[in-house]
Amino acid sequence: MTHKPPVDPSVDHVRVLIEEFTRSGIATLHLRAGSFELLLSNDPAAPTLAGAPAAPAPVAVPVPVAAAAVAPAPVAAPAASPAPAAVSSSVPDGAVVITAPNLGTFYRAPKPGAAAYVEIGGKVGPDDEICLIEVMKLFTAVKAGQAGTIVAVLAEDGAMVEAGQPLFALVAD
Amino acid sequence: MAIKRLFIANRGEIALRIVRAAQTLDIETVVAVSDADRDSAAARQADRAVVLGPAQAAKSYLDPRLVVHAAKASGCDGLHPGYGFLSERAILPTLCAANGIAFVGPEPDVIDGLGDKIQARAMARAAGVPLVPGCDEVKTAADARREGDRIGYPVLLKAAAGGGGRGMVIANNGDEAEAGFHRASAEAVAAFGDGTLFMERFVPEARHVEVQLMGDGKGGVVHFGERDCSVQRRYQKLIEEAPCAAMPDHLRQQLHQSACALAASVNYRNAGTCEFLFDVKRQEFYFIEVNARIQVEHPVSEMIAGFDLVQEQLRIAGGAGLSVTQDQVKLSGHAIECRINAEDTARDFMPSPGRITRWSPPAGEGIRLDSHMSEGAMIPPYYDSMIGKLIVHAETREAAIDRLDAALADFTVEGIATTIGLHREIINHADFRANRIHTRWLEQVLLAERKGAAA
Amino acid sequence: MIRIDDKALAAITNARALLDTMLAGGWNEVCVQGEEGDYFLARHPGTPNPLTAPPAAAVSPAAAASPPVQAPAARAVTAPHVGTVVWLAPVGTAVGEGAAVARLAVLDETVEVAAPAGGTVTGHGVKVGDLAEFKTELVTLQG
Repeated sequence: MTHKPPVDPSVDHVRVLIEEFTRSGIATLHLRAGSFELLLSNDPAAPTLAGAPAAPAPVAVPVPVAAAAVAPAPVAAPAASPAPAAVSSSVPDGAVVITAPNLGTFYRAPKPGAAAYVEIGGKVGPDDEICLIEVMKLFTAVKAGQAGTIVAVLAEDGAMVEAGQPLFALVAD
Repeated sequence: MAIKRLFIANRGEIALRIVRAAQTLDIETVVAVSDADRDSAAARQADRAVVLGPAQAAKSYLDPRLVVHAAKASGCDGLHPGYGFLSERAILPTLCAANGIAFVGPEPDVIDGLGDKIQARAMARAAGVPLVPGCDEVKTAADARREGDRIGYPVLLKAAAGGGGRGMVIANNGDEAEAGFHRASAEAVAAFGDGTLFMERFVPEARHVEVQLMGDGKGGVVHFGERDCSVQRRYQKLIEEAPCAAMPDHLRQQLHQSACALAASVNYRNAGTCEFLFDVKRQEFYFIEVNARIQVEHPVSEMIAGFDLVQEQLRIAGGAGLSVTQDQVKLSGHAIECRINAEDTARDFMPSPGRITRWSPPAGEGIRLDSHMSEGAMIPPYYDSMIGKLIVHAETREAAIDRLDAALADFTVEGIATTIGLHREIINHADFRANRIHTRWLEQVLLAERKGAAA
Repeated sequence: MIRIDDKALAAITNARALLDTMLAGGWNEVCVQGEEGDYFLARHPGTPNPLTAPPAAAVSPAAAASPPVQAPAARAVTAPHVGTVVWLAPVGTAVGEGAAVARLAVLDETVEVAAPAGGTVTGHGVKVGDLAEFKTELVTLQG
């Protein structure tokens, strides 16, 4: 793995989102969470963001995300992520996030049908391999990096992940 | 009966290559695509494209039932598997036969027999083809030590099942043979579900030489000369040449005879390649395996033979006999192919998927490009990294290298990293020019020098 | 200076998942408003963005009553892989979530395609006997 030290890693998340937005070819992606607001638009006629952060959403609607996760048929949405809220809320405080070293398909087991390298609650050492990332037939084993306990799996087995995308949360020993 | 409508169960440059060959023979074409390849060059060139499934190969190109169903339902009477994917899985010709589709390749039992290394070696032995001294079945660490002692070190241990370079271990003495057994066997179990290994003498500086064959399925076999594919990285070929300039004529004849004898002995049908290891010091060659399909590097044989192998494949699958006799196959000049991969050689060959923002390939006399790429094309991250093959042909090896160098210099690709620059370094290296290379030369010499220069 | 806290990171992750889902599902727009954050994605320019609507409108009873996800009321159920259509639920059939709305043949095997949500079949995108490709619309469901 290579590191580019001076960049705040969280900026990568925005970069990845922008890349995905660009690739998708859609017109508008707008998100707002707390004081953070981001509007990506290819629509010249669309309104832009005001300088000040928008007011918190006044309408709180129950279970919004579950409805969004409905895919037309189970097999047709291979890359569909798990319910997003579930993913983000499962990283406890103090946990270290292990990210993908490069873009590729995330595999939790060494081969199809085999047991996963590690399950939630599993203890790992720094050199333990915890998953594979495959891009164009090149498999890269990802190591835990430090000793600890895996407390969350943040990507779906078999899904395409971007460089820097969170894969696991680990609580160090 | 000649094929009227052909299903192409592959992607990339080979799908496009097959579509064009079929169109030359007035065969209609239906190309299978995944969701990621809807807009591929082959899909645009073919009469029709059928989207099998999502981008992941396991749910599209690698599902034999989806492939054969789509072929049948789209009215195809022939199916070409290309290389890779399902091309050497016996289930594909089996399903084709059950559904009245002519498979462009060998019979399923021949694919199965040749696909099993132990059976393939037995077939080669029976046909009188030289084998590297070895042992077919190593089941325990004690076996490994005993057989290693008998064969003489260094020895190579590898999985009896599976292909490529996975699970290979080299041992220089009895202790290493035992340790190597444990490692390779565990890897073989993980990869193939079978820990049986086979062991053979390891030739440290070997060349990879292979013979292009075409069989009529009735014992008739014609060869189109040999190829030298010694520029490899991690057992993956990067540059292939035809002929093998390092091999003397008398050995070359024996090589061709051996390959033809093996193919004839199994009534081999359609295109195949018999691979050999060439021990330059001992001036001996040994059988490696038969690849029961058209290969990536078939164009270098086509260039020196002036013969279209894919068209011949389609004619044979349609029931015709071989269109040429051995006497009619005239080989001339020297051809070299470079595999252009979307890989970053400065980052340990990390694949480099993405969009091609500029694509300006060379053209001219003696230059051929087999590629499905164009400006603006997207290289998806799901499949292999090869984006094209640049092939040159000239009177001599030296002239071919010069032509290739000029062609590579004229080849501009932007937006992704490619191996074009590395290819120029390779072909201009003194060892390559003097033809002093072997299968580990690239890693041990050129890439090592590169690393040294960078440090 | 962009400040990206955990909440923002979670929102980005959610937005990416929504983008995937939208593309996979063939939807034209997705809007989610909730405690975790607000999201709006639109495929085509000119689609009104509820998040940039004046706050007054957002608190109006009409807006509050509108469904959280403005998924198209008519939803296409598409083929999960290539196959020959052998059966389609007739137009007018009311189906529950998970009920079969189509069957596809792959060689000698028949595969059921299930409704992703309950609804009424209002149209067919294919005919029995057609070769449906991956993502081909099989039936339309009206929520």
